[in-house]
Amino acid sequence: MKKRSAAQIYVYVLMLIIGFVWIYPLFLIFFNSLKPYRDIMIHFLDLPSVWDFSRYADVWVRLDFPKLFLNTIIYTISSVFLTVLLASLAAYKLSRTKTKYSTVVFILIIIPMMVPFQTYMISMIQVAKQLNMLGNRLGYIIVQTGLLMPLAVFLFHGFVKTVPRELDECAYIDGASRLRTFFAIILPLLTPIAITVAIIDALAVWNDILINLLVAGAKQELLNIQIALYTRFSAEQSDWGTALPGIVISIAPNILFFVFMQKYIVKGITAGAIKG
Amino acid sequence: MFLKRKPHARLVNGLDFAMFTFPALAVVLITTNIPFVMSIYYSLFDWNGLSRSMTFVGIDNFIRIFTIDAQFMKAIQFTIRFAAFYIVIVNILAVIIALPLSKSGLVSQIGRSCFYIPNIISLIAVSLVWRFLFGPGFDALADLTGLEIFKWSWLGTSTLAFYSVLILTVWQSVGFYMIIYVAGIIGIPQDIVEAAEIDGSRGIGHFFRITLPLIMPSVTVCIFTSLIGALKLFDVVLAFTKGGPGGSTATVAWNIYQEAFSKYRFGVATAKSVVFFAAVLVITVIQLTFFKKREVEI
Amino acid sequence: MKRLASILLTLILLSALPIASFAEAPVKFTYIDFQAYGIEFMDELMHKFGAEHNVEFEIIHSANGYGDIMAGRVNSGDIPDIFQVEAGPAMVPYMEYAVDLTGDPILEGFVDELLSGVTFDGKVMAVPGGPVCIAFMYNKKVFDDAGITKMPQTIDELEALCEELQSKGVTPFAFGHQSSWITGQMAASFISQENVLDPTDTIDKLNSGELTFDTLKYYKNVFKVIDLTIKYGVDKTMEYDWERSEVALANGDAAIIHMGSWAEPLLVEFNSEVELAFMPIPVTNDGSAIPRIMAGPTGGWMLSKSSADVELLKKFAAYFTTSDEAIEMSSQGLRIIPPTKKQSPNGVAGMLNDSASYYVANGQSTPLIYVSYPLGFEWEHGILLQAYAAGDMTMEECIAAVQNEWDMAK
Repeated sequence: MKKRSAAQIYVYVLMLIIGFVWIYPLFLIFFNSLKPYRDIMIHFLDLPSVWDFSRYADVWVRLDFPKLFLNTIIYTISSVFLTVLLASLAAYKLSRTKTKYSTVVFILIIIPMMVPFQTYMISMIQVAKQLNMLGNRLGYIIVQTGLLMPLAVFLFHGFVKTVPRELDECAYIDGASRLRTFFAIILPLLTPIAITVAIIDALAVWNDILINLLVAGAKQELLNIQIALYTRFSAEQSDWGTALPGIVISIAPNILFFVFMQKYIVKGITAGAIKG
Repeated sequence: MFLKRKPHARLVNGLDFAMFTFPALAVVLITTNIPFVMSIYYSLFDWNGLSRSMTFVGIDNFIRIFTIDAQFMKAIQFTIRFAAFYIVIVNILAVIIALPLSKSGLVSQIGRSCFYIPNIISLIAVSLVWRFLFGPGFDALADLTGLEIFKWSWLGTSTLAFYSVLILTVWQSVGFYMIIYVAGIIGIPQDIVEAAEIDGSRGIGHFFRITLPLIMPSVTVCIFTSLIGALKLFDVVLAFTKGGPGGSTATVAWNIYQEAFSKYRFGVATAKSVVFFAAVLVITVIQLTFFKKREVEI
Repeated sequence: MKRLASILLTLILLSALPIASFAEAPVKFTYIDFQAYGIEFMDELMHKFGAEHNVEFEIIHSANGYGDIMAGRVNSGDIPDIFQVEAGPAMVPYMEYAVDLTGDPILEGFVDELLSGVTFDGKVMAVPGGPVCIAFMYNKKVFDDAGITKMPQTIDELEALCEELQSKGVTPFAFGHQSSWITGQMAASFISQENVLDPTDTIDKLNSGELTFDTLKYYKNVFKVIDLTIKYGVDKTMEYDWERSEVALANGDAAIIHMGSWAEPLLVEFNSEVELAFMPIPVTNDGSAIPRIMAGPTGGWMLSKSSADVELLKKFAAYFTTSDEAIEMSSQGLRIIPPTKKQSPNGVAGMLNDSASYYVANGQSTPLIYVSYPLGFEWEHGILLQAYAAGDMTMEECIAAVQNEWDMAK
């Protein structure tokens, strides 16, 4: 254990203070969500005198949060699962195969990362319409998977290099089919990057607004949490009394998720970044 | 167990390749590549996005973008200016925070969490949070402290609005880059660090001569990601400023979106997207080549 | 015998089932609008109709994102059965999908003038909504307390009025500058006064180039008035959106805002004792034009040609706008004058409607000209004026930019 110099301790403390200040806005939001509207204006920085959770109940019911949560959870789990599965399969094969075709396919899959979504939004809807993917859950999940695929493949592709080729050959000679080789041996070794990808994707799907709006066509039963928040409170609404509880409810799962998964997230991004 | 015969090997390998890669490729083609090519087609037409018919106008849309569309030029200026500020500030800040927080231990963990949490909250929640802060929040703080800074109109004047957007995006994203830098710093082999320290290297000199060159891969990734993120900025404008005041915080992506959905001029909007895509491609290729050259192999 | 009876009974029961389920299957209608308030009333009407006629409504109220949703649904072939649209060119893109209602009996209940707002090439393409009035709106009590009794006839008089209010410790304006569409609407008053008898003539001349924004009689005065709203306005007026400005008016924190009559229910909700009235907008100092309010229909509802049951849909549209319940809801709840010939026996609630009727009867009104702008202009118009208000553009730059935008849109 290296000795900590005084300077280092000061830096630590400084970091902690700055860190606290950094997330202080969130505390402010939480505390103010419990105060009646008038109080927010007057006693902005104080702790609430009364911890009034009634508006939470009101917002919960009014925006139909149970349905929103259910939808969002379904979307997130399905998209992430599908993306990790397809991306790992593809990236593995692309990384191992050194042909011209392989390069072409890889570039085709990667290039969307450079293109902002708005540029092909409408065409995408038309294509989706032809394939009957609009206005239903499955369609939305497939679209999300497609949009997450480029980055996922990119990350997996870099990481596969760290798995020695000899492992593939050993397993294959032992009689396992290619697919089985993959699932039994390779995939477990890709776990760190898989977690990274899963987390990035889960956040993207959980927090998505625009795609839900377009693909689900705002059909009431298909909404996710963020969309409900957007259509009610956005750049021009000032009903903070209701908006604040809404915000807290929508952020809470993310924060809880993070607190529990903290170790893995940092590990995963760390591992992914070094290899990538 | 049977060994495959040579003549069939290519076919089998081909099928094999297909089986693994085509699902992923298919999904990407459907959702992105094909639509993008389709929109290039639309850029040659005058279409309002809703009707079943459209008129062919050739490259009219493209000419128009560069000659009479003042708002588009304004958006380009804003986007470039924003990107420049953002990339520099967020990366420097991320590195500065990453240095002390790359040590192991509880303090580092807590510190890292504090900075990373804003990143996992949706952009719309972040925008609402900061709208609240810049609005009623600052008003209350102005009353409490009487400081000038809280009395300024952060969302109502274009100069300050630029910084409001900057503050918000930096707050939300610095954690992400910080973690990548932390990874890079952790990855520096201890023997090199110790050897350098024995040689008397410490402090700022140590940072620039030892640390920085060895974390170049992280730098490349972070600059690439922050560059693309800044150029494509949209969600923040949608939820935070809606391009205001007076269109001063409109990014290129926002301008394209408005052109298509608020002004019903799809052909023009897709023409802009094509131009935008080409620009982003050129910029990122230049950036990647430049930085890749500077990475140091151990 | 017993067996026969049981077989017969079973057959009867079995045959009853499909009939029963056939009769049970409700028709599904999708409804979408961009209302920000009054939603409860509309939902109520839809539930009533749905119960009586076995219709299931999918209701989407989308003050934000309306454009995206409609674009998505139109392009995917899933057009809502009934959708709200703004009057004027905003309807044109949807016309190929809408039912042509010309000559349809359901139109009989409507006032003819309002039908013209939703007629194109002689064809009635939508069911009209009620007329609204837009102008400066002031808090009567604040004015009374400050001793103001006369409406300003010129811009200079408006400025004097502001000085008067300020000397009495009142903030004159709480203009919602952040909502750029408000600024755009105010400017429309000035444009429409160019030719009060025939505003569409002005539009035609702007399209042909015969008139430019620079040569319009009163357009330059828009900027003078914008300056007044800032000079005599609340602090940080650029951050006031429509809602914040309404709150300020209702609470008496400011005397004047610019808004439309649809806002009355919300204003009353903010302050049940508020007293409101319209102030016609003076557009000049040389006496060549009198101050006016803008009045007209803002839009209506279009019916989709591809609906599952167009006849039932028409019935619903009629019910939604011309039935007694609808008239009552509009008059008392939304406080918008129903677009119908028949009016509520209780009259239309609303101080603003009373105020508006007074000015209309007095010949001090002008149609809502902005609904005739070329498609896509109005959106940017407000934003450019907002840029001027924020200090990013000079008047000359702004006028040039506005002209540019018009040329791009026509």
